[in-house]
Amino acid sequence: MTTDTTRMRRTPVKSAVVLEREGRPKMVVYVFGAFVRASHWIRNALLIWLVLSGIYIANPFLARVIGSDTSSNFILAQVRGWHVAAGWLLLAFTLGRIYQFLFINREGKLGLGAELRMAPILFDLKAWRDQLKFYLLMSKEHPHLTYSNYGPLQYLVYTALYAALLIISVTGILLAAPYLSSGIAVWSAELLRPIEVAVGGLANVRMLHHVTMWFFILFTLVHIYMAVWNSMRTGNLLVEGIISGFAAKDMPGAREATPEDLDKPAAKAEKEG
Amino acid sequence: MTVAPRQHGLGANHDLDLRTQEHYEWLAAEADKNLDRLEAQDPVNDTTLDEVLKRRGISRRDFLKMSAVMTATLGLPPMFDLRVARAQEVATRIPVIWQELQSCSGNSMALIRNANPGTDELLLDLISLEYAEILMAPSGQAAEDVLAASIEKYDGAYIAVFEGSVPVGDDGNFLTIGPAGETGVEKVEHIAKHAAAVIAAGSCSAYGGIPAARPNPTTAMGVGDFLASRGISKPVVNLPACPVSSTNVVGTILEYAMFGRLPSLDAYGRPLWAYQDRIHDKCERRGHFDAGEFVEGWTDIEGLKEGLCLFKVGCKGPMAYNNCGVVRYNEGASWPIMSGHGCIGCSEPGFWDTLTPFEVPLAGRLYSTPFGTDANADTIGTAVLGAAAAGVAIHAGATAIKAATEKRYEGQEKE
Ligand code: SF4
Repeated sequence: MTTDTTRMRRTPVKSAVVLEREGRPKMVVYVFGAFVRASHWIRNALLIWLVLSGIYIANPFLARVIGSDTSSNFILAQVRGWHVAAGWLLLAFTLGRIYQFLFINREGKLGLGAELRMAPILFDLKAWRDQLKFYLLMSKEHPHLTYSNYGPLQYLVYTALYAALLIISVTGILLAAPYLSSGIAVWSAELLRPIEVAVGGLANVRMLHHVTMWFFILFTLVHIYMAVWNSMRTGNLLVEGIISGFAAKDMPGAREATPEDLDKPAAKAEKEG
Repeated sequence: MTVAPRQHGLGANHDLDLRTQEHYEWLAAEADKNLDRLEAQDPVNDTTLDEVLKRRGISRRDFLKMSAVMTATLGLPPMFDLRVARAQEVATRIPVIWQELQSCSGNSMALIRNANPGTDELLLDLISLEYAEILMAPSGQAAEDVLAASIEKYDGAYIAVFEGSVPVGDDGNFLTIGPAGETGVEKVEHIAKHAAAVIAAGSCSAYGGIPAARPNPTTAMGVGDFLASRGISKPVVNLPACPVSSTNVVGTILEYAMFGRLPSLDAYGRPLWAYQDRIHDKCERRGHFDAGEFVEGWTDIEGLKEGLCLFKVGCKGPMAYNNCGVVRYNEGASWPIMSGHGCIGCSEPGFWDTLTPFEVPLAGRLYSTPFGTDANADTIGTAVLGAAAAGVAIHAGATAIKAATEKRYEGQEKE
């Protein structure tokens, strides 16, 4: 499985360690750049904070338990403030990623996005069949895709993920603006007001925000499971990859791997590269 | 939901904050021009301000004080104090027709239940209320005749105030009015067509209100939406709330008298001067909200006594736009949050469906589920998450078994 953070530009192969996983020769390559990895974990942390603080804002359970003095301790205002701040940061990452999706082509230059051009995978019946077979344990072969970094299921889910990120950001801005008197939230909320009217008022905006949160919680569960499952089933080191940057790719006909190959791909990479 | 046509474009809120001295001077000149124009007309009400003041025992001085308060409520600077006073003087030139529709008449009640006369009460004496079922002496055919005569006499000049929603279901037969059994639909169409401007007083008239609550048996609509659906284009101003405070009705009429047009509206057709800020932003309990100090439940006597924030007992102030906290009800005596119950957001479009249940925070809104019981988003979310976790566990187990059999199979092959 490829995660959404896979770098779309052709990453210079920093290393080519050959090893064997699950009985198949593999080549260890550098797939996740430092920025991609950092942004993955930063966004992860942001989402955790946003969900936790959001639950508190929806139902402020800390009330009066920690003994507060109204004049000096504005706990809810503080939590809301940091919730909104984290939201803006997440939106910045989201917009950057969407820009990359739409406009960065295979050569890493401005153009029709390389990932956008993979969209036909959604309508590729054979790809759907192969992928579902693989996930339903009817085949051990990870579907081999030629023109897309993503299987159809991933493509769909990640598109939904970014749609959800946009929904939660837009509703978040509309909800944050009334608390502020000026600034980016206020004027962007003015621009977004027709959306508020279209969904039927601030109350529905509030519930959309809340329900979308559940999408992220569900996504996280399934995402972690699928990444681990794929990593184990195909031996592609994906879970390790999002930490170290190195993942394994199929390399038919390569030499048998030695146990050392597995140990420190990074160190190995330096030695070889 | 469709809303009445907007008078202001994007950024209307923002514009209001940026008004400058020059802007106000320009506005004052506009007001003067319009007031002169009105003054030149013949009064349609045979009373005068002086008479009304004398009858009610109000000194000129008190009258000016009341006007100054009204000016501030309208969000205008003190240079308008005298202009607001003058607007009341010339209000005798403005004919008003007040039509009840599918309503409880609560808005009329709120308007006339002022024991001590304030601007609200005064204006009611001053404007020429041509037709108002609740207040007028004639009834039956006599009342109908008055209405027909006023519409003819003030064609295109009167303000039509509607109270209550328009039921359009069953050809409008859910509501029939008068001896001829005219339907609400016909009434609204007829009265609005000949009006200069339309005021929708109260939430029912603005957005459909309680009669429009799911499943909306009478297909009730707000007046603005209804007129739009029939292609009748009139300036409509929505004054939602249940009931609308008399100040907001009177302020809107005064604005009309002063500027000859309806006030600037927000995205839901509500005048910005009254509905620009949320209940939450003008709430006396707000400090406790930000401090995270809440009344924890109706048995939390301690918290109720201390006047803590009512969010956790269902206050919808953060979702509702209105100026209740400032103008209050019953001669400014109190308002819901002051009396200890959270805001139910009665001035929001769709509040009857979107802000219920009223006594839990919004996150507790109930959705119907295929299992026959209603549940809130968190319960549903937890259930779905549980199902997903179970799915993951089953898939993981199946994978383990499959992997084991694959190994055994490979082993056999090697042998
Ligand atoms: S009582 Fe309601 S309006 Fe007032 S601060 Fe609390 S939540 Fe806001």
